[in-house]
Amino acid sequence: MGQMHQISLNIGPAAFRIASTWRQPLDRLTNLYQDYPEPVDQHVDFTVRLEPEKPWRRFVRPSVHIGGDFWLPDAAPLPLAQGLLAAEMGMNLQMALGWRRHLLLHASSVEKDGKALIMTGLSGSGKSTLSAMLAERGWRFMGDEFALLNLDSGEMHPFPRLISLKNEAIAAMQQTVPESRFGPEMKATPKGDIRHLVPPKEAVVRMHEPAKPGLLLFPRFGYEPELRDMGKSEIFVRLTQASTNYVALGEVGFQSLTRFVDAVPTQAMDYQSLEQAEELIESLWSQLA
Amino acid sequence: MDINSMKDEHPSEPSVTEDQKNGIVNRRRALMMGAVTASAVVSIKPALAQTVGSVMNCEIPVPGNHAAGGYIDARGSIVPPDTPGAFPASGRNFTGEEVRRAMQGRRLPGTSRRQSRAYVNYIRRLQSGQSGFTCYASLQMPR
Amino acid sequence: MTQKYRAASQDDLIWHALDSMTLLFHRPSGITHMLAEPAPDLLQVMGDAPLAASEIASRLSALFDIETEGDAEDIVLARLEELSLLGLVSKVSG
Repeated sequence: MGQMHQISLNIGPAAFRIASTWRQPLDRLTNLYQDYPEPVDQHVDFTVRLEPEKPWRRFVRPSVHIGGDFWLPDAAPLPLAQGLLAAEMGMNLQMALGWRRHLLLHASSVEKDGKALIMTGLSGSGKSTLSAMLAERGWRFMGDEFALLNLDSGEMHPFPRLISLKNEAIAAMQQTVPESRFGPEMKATPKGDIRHLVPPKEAVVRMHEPAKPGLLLFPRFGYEPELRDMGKSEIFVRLTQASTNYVALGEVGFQSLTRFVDAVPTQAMDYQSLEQAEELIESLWSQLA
Repeated sequence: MDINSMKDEHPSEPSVTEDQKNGIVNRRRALMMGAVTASAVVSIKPALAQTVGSVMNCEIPVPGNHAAGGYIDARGSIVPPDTPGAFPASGRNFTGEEVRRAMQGRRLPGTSRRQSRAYVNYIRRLQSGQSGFTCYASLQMPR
Repeated sequence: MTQKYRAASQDDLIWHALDSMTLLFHRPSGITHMLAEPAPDLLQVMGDAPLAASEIASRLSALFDIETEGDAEDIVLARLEELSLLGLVSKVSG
């Protein structure tokens, strides 16, 4: 197979080694994560492996298979031009399958006044874009893919990776964020057009500062703006569906999630533009105790 | 947690009956029994495939390695090559997205209507351990 | 011989009431169940003893104002069967 190149990344409480047959994805990662601190020691939690789908695909129409300590059968390979995306997906996969130190929710999160706003929902709900937008409007970015719930304290822990912007969201953020913070354009990925956005410096500097959960939102893009209460049973079930490790955590997961659902005010939020969403969010936030 | 504290937290209205002999007023909560056929329990069992489906893009080979060289008949079974009416292996793997759309009525890319239906039937019959099964299972769950 | 049922030991169960449903974590299996009426009360009145469906229906009638469209005992039996498939109730012989 030949020598593999590698780099290490430290994001929030997790440390990754990314090993790759090709230099290019690692060079791009190194560039975009340049302001992140080096891992303190040699310890890593996970290794991600980017390797040719088949040996001859190393050079001919190079095709990246995403693997690592944790992997899934039937994973679709990506072209080398989307190697950066493959690395990010590889890190997502390690967290989703292997992380046990927090309850994981598929959600974005931002912080203000010492409290976290958590936004969860299906693909297309806009949770990544909302977190990117709020991060430019006075909120501290905590993460766009996974929200980490501390099993003892009930606090949310930051996990600020590159923000994954898709399709229209890219142009929307380009209006307020300098080009230097964007990764390469990747067109026609399995998830559409994607560009990664480097989080604001403050998010990185403060990435070890947790925050008490203040508000949980279920955003839904493309509907008349509206806020709705939700029943606790519905919230609980939807959060178990949004968690990749609720079942694996057993009793501790049950205690953490029930405590969370009991304590955290929750709303469903429909919206048609980022401006509408921001207005609704700020009005809710100001009403919190 | 005992029965008494359970009662206190329940939202049903209590009904008041009087025991005329003793002059005691018994406040009893109403209990809805439902129907014989109405299930009263839902178990939280998000399958691995469901929760990770949005993290990883997957693909399904038609047919998988376990049936390499075989053809696929209209019902989705693997049959010997050149069986009349059966279709050869697709030249490419299909993504989870493409298969989901095919299950909703559209055609798998690059296939005729009958070929697409045969392939989809094959996919629907995948078993655990066969190539593509995890991907197919993840399509079943709401994302 | 009437079938008797025994509820899982209270030590194996963690209850948590939400609004319309009750959560139940079953320690031996690690599975979280969501229970609607009458399941939580049914399990609670069973205590530790093996009981027949008729006895359980009687206990419920004594404690609650039963509202039912069908026969209470039939419904109790159906729910017991459901709970036994989930491992929350075991069937006891004799």
